[in-house]
Order: sequence, then C-alpha cells, then structure tokens
Amino acid sequence: MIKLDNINKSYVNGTSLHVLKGLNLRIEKGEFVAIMGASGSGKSTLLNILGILDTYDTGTYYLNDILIKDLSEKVAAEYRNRLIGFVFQSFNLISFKTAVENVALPLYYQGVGRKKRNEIAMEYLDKMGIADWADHLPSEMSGGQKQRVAIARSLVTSPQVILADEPTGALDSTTSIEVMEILKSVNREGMTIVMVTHDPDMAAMAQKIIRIKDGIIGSIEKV
Amino acid sequence: MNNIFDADRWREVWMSISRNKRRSFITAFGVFWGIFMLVVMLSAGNGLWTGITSQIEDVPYNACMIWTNSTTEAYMGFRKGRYWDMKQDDIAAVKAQFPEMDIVSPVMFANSTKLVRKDKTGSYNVKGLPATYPQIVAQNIYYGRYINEMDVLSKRKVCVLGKKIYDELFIPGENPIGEYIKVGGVNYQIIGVTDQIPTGINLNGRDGEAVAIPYSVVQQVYNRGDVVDMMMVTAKRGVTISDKEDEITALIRSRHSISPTDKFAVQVVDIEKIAQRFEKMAIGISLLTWLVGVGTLLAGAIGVSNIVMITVKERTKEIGVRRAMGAKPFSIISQIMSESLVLTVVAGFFGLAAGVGSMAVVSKILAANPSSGAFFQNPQMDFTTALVAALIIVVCGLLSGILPAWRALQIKAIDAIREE
Repeated sequence: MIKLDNINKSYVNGTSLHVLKGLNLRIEKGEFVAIMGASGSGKSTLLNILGILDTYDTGTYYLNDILIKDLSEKVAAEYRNRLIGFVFQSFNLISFKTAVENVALPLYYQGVGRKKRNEIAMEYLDKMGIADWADHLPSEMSGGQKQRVAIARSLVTSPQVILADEPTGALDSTTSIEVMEILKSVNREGMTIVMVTHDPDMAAMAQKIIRIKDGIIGSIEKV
Repeated sequence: MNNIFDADRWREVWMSISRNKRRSFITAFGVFWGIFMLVVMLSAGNGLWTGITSQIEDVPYNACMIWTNSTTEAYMGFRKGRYWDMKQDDIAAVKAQFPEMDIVSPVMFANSTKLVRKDKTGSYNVKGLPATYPQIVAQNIYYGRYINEMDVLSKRKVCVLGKKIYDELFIPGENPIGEYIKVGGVNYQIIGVTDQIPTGINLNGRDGEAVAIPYSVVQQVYNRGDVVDMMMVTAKRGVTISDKEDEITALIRSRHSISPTDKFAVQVVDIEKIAQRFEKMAIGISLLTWLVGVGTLLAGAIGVSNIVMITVKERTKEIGVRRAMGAKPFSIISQIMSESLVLTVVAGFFGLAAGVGSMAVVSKILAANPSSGAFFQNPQMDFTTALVAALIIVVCGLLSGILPAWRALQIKAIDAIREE
C-alpha cells in the first residue's frame, strides 16, 4: 500500500545534507510498523515524506496506488486530509477548541456540516473512551487523554494510514502502554499504522521494526 | 466547501479574535480612531464648505469695483504721481459705451462721522450709496426700506442705519422709521435698518456698522461736487465682466489722460476672482481633510496588519496543524483575511457611528447658537461620503489582511509540528 522506490532527499542549508539515500520501502495494508533509528538517520524525514508534509528529490512514492509527487499545495492538503491521519508527540491539539471540536477539525476541511461532524467526532471520542471529556479544552486534560483525542482526530476521516511520530514521547510509561494498546486495537480493526519511535519497548509492540541507518533501510525485523 | 457564508468560518474567526480580547481591542481602537477622525475631519471640511458657499452664493459673481489711485506714469504732459478723480460723467460714459453692462453706479465714502440720537452718540462710517447697491451687496432689511432712485435724484436727507448702530443707539424693539438722527451735524430721516448678508466682501467696512445715505447727498453735503470715489459695475447675463474690465478701464484712462499702461492708477477688483479664491481654499481644505483622515485610517489599518501578523506568528503551530489536517491554502488565507476584515470593519463602523453621532451633536449646538457670517455651518457628512468611508474601511481591512495571510501561507505544516 505504501511503495517507496529509490527515494533521495537532500537539505540544502549552506552545505548540502544528503538525508535519504535511495530508500526503498514497502508497507502492506493492515500492517503496524515501527520505524527506529538514531537521531539524524532520516526517520523523521521519511515520516514527513510519507505524510506529504515534505517533498523528495528523486524516486517515487505511491500511496494506495496514487503517485505522490510534485503535488500542488491544494492537492497535497486534500490527500493529507483524506488519506492520512497524524498523531504527534506533543499532541498538537488546538488549544482554544474543545476535544470534540479538535476531533471534528479534519471534517471541517472536508466541508462536513457542523452537526454531522460533531456527531462523527463524538463517535470516535466514545471509541477512545473519553466521550465524557468532549466539551473540555486540551488544557483541562491529562497527556493520555490528549493523545486519545489526537488519535480520535487521526481516525475521524477514515484514512488509509496513521502516521504516529513518537506518540508516547511525552507520556509516562503506564499511559504510554495504554496509548499503545489503543493503537494496537485500531490496527486490529484493519488500520495501517506507521510509527516513529526511539523507545525499543514501544517498537516491540508493533508487528515489524524497520531500522533506518544513514538514509537507507538498515534492517527489517518481525516482532 | 469553506463557504464564505458558512457560520463555522465566522465562528473560527470570532474565536481567534476573542481569544486575546485586550490586544484585539487595542488594535481595533486604532481603526476606530482612524475612521472617527476621518469622519470628524470630513464633516468639519463639509461644514467649512457649507459655510463658505453659503456666503458666496449671495455674491454677484459678475461684478467689479473700480477706484482711483495716483498715476505712476507721466503721460500727455502730465507728471507722474498725479492724483485724479472719477467723475459722474464717467458713470454716464461707461453706461453709454457698454450697453451690455447692467448696473453702473457710483459709491461715495465719507470719513468716520459722529452720530447723535437723543442722548446717545457714536462714531461711524458714512457711505454714499446708489439705489442699486443691494443688488451687489445683498442686504437683510430689519426695518423700513433701502435707498431708492427718488432719494438719490431728489438728494433727500434720508439714511439707512446699519443693524449694529441701531442696536447701540435704539432700545431693542423700538421702531426707528421716520425718526431723525444727526450725522455730522446734519439731520437725516431714518428710512431703514439693514445689514449685509455676510459674503466676506466688505466695501470700506461692514454695512452693519455704517450709515448709508444717497451718494448724491454725500457729494452735496461733503462738498465733493461730481466726484465719484468708486464705480460699481455688473454685467448683464451672458456677459463676463472679466472680459470687459480692460475695455472699461481703458475708456476711463482715456477720459482722464492716463497712460494706457498705467495699471496702478485705475484699480479694479473682480468679485468673481475673490469668490474663486474662497472656493479654492475650501477645496484645498477638503483635500487636506481627506488626506489626513485617510492617513490616520491607514495608520490604523497598518496597526491591524501588525497585530494580525503577530497573531499569525503566535499561531504558527496551530496553522501548521490545520495544514496537516488538510486545510487548503485558500482556507488559511481566507481565515486570516477574515480576521483582519472583521476587526477592521467592526471597529470602523463603530468609528463611523461615533463620528457621525458626535458631529450631529456639534451641528445641533451650532444650529442652536447661530452667528451670522459663520464660516462653519452644519458640519455633517453626506450619505455618499459615508458610503465612501465605509468602502475605505472594507478596503483597509482587506489590505491589512494581505501581508499576514501571505505570512501564514509560508508556514509549512512540517515547520510547525517539528518536535523541538
């Protein structure tokens, strides 16, 4: 479902920094993949390219048989909205919106009416077990609750893949395991999940661990 | 999708404005003040315009005054620096030569003279005027009538008092008509009380502070013979006086052996030119008020732009998240622009209302205390100007949103959500 072929990416910032050096990767539908790697190995860059947040220089990237290359910002936004769900380390909820409004935000950009999208958002909050917190602001919630809201938000558009960037990085170990359990249960329902982490314990909860080394795939191990 | 009339969108806008109420308020105040000042200045300019035009609307545009001065050129055996007098004959000659002229009348001036009425006295200017005078300097008649042709021909010892003299020498409400008053030792019967309608044009002081007697009486009583101090000329409809001035003065020069090139000896004032000067002044003032007002408003709009810019900077992360969630460039632009627009428009219309309201109060106060000859009347904005002002507000709102919106567009989702 995700097909990366010979992806090259350099950052030119005074001197040129070659981050991804001809990376090839296949991720099948329904997989739960953990990407690990030392800092600077290119794992974040890879995730950004997967999330259509960043462009790549050469190679091809197919997401669900759609070539993701040289997209206009408008089309990229549309694809992000419909194909990808994001979960971030620092949650990235909008601080002045309630939980349900945050979850409904991607639907707002699809033009779904307010009543309809809040209904759908409530469904997903309920699924995450935090329906009671729907009308609370992020500042009134714990880290674990915020991440559940964020996961609900990533799921609300029924995307093709969830990209999770250190989803447990800001959480304590108990909460981390809870969040991982949620991700696993989401995966069990058929959702493809790609997670970047540097925590071996969290990576071990995925089905596959992909290690990035010097801009290419170092090793792939099945858990 | 993301329809302009979508209530959600405005809800988003309102949320981001109301999140920092004090900052939004201070910013909005800049625009409020700008449009308030614009309205006040435009209204004031309008008031000035109304005041000036109401004064010059009574001016006979097609009129000029001619009077004498010493010669500056030796001519036909006469030395330069010679004093000369216009004569009654000159009036007749101009009349005969220029049938296209309407009024050709003499005016006489006598020096400040003592007036005695019962136990009250005062010193006032005396003007010797023709019956046609009110056609050139319009008069408000408070009592009686003005000097007529019969008064002039029969050299009747009658006078028209200026309103101010009446106020000083008579009891308020007292009818002065038929009464006698001593002017420089000679008794005159009072036939009227008048004052000139203010035009900004005065002949030897204001009429309200002078005694008018028939010019023929001045010539006789003050031993001036057939001398004429000033000639007033108006042209008939369809004839422009300024085109004829040179011909008229040329005739006068030739009749008095004055060099044709001696401009100084024959003085001419064209009333139309004076009126034009007033009009130009009023136009200049109104231009200035627009300039300063729009400038103030622009400063306010730049303030809004600045604040929205800061807001954008502060919301880098939020905007980045929105983009990651699928916000299209247009929806980001329209959101930021809408914020600027709402802030500017709301503040602007409050400013407009406050400005119009306070000028309405000023108008009322001015109307309640009318002073004649006020150069400042009814300082209010007309509807078109208000519409233009409203349009300017909206344009300013859009303009002030452009830069922040552009800035917001530069925010890439990846920059915003990058973990530090």
